[in-house]
Amino acid sequence: MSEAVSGAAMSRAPRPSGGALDTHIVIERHGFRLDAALAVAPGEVVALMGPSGAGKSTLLAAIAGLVRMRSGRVRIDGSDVAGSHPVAPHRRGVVLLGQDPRLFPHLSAADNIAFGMRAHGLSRHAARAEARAWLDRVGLDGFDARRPAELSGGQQQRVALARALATAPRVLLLDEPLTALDPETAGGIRTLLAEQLRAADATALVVTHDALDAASLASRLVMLERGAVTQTGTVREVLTTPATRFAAAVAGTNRLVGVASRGRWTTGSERTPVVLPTDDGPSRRAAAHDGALLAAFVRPADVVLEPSDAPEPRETRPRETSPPRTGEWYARIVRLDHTPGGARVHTADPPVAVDVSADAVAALGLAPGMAVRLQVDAAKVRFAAV
Amino acid sequence: MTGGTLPRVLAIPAVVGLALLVLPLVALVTRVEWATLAADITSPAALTALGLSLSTALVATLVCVVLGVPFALVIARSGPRTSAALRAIVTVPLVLPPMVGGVALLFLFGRQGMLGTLLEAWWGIRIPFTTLAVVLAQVFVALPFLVLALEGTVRSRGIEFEHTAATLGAGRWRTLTQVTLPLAAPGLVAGVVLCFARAIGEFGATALFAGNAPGVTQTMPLAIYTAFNGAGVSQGPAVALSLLLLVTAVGVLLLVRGWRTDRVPTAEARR
Repeated sequence: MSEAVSGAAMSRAPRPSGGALDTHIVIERHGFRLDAALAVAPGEVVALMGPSGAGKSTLLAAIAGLVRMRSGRVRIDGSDVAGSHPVAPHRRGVVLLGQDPRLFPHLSAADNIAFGMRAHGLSRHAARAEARAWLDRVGLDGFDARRPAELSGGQQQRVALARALATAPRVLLLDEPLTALDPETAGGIRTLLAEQLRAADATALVVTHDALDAASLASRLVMLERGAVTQTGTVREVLTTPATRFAAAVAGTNRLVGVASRGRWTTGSERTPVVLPTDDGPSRRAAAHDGALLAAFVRPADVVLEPSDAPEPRETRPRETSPPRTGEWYARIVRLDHTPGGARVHTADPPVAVDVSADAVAALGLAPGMAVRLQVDAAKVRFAAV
Repeated sequence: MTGGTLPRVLAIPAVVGLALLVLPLVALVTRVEWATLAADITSPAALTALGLSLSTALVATLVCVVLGVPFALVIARSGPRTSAALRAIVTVPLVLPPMVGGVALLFLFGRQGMLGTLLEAWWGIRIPFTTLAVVLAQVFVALPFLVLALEGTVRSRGIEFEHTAATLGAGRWRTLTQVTLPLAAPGLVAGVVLCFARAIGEFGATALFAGNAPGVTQTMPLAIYTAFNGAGVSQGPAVALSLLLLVTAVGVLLLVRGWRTDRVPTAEARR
């Protein structure tokens, strides 16, 4: 059956769409447990993000059949290839492209691309012709005879991508394909990748640590932390209402856990509460149940920072300064981080990051330990139930 | 000398080492009796010994490749403990004096030997003191060279390229012949060269296990030994034969080197 599928897949456009992936993988080794389920629809691109050591690469290797699973399933187009008689990696139609392009060093660029097609039974001549067409598609026309050692890192990754797509995989697994490249090269390949995945109508699972990759390549985003799926949704959903601290860091937003109170978010003590309002309808509904745990989301750029006239904000504020209004509170600077346009100011209680421009840092003389007044507009705040 | 950061004083032991390798050969060449060289080399006894040496060493190398390549691959892809144990076993004939190897072979294949009795009882085959014994002795001493050289290369290459080949749809045989072996080519070539060189120079095990019968088991090293011991008055033939063996060995080495350099990507070129 796989031969028939591959044979048909080898013919020129219109290319067939990728297969359906439905998987639940359980692996235990060295005290680490991976127990994650996810599904990718035919022609869909799903991004997989998670901190280092979350099990992302292991998950991909298990789908490809390169590591043994303890239990679970890897269903490709409905049939389980990882059951009691696991299907060998070379018969799964699953291609894995990693951070390292891993081009065969003894083969030319064209022969590297032809390798997979030859393995699927295409004649030498046909595979060669197809390989040349693929080189053209990835912007390397005329590079047929080049050895991998004669190609730059970006060119190698282009060849590796062509080699992977040329086999018309049922499922394409990409493990941080842009990480090893400099930003400019990565940008070019990200665009190419998005184009080619769409053109091939490929089913793909992309591991990345970059929210931009997820946004530009994938329609859905799965968060994997410590071996378990912590959030699944459209890329937009996950990035606007991240469910964990890690997801919030990826999305570049503040995720603050507090309590719902009369349609607003609150935290802090009775005497010095911090209260955030919102203009967002769904967010207000999420805060309807008083006392329920509630996450508030505010982008660092949407927080306004002003110097505080109170040297000891918490203790002296009630007497020396006006009481804070809703959406306004006093805090102390913990740390300053460099950002391309200025600095990210980290404050404590609640832990909120604020982006400020370099000239603001200079004008206000911002430094760790300094007391500041923070303020957010209700239009910029979203809530989600925890 | 090109720059680098090596302490200059290292040049002294390096030169001494080089001299230790080259000077004996120079001494050998100085003792060549050029007048009778042609006659000595083309004497029927010499040519027979050379022919026997080349053919047995070639067959032994072939046997080593047929047995040693799969063996090396199995070791390289075994678990850490198994492969360490197998490597140790393969190394034993390497550190064993060849004479001991010859005795051991005799005890296995000899008339009273474990296999020897069976072979003779069932098929009437006697191995010791035949040309087959020469080949067996050469395989025994040369196989470790091929196995260790190839195994090291295959293992250091890792399994990542093989995984890549598998996910691209290549089965086990295609992966072996198109990925694993081509990538291990430097180790294979080095192994074959060492293996052949060891086989053609083999003396100790052959002398004990195969004997010294001209035309049957008298290879070049044995012929040289005989010439040195027997001639008494003139060592001319022995020196001439030694020179012939030296030239043959260097010739084979150059042949393989020449084939090797243009085929195999170097480590630096990869990155």
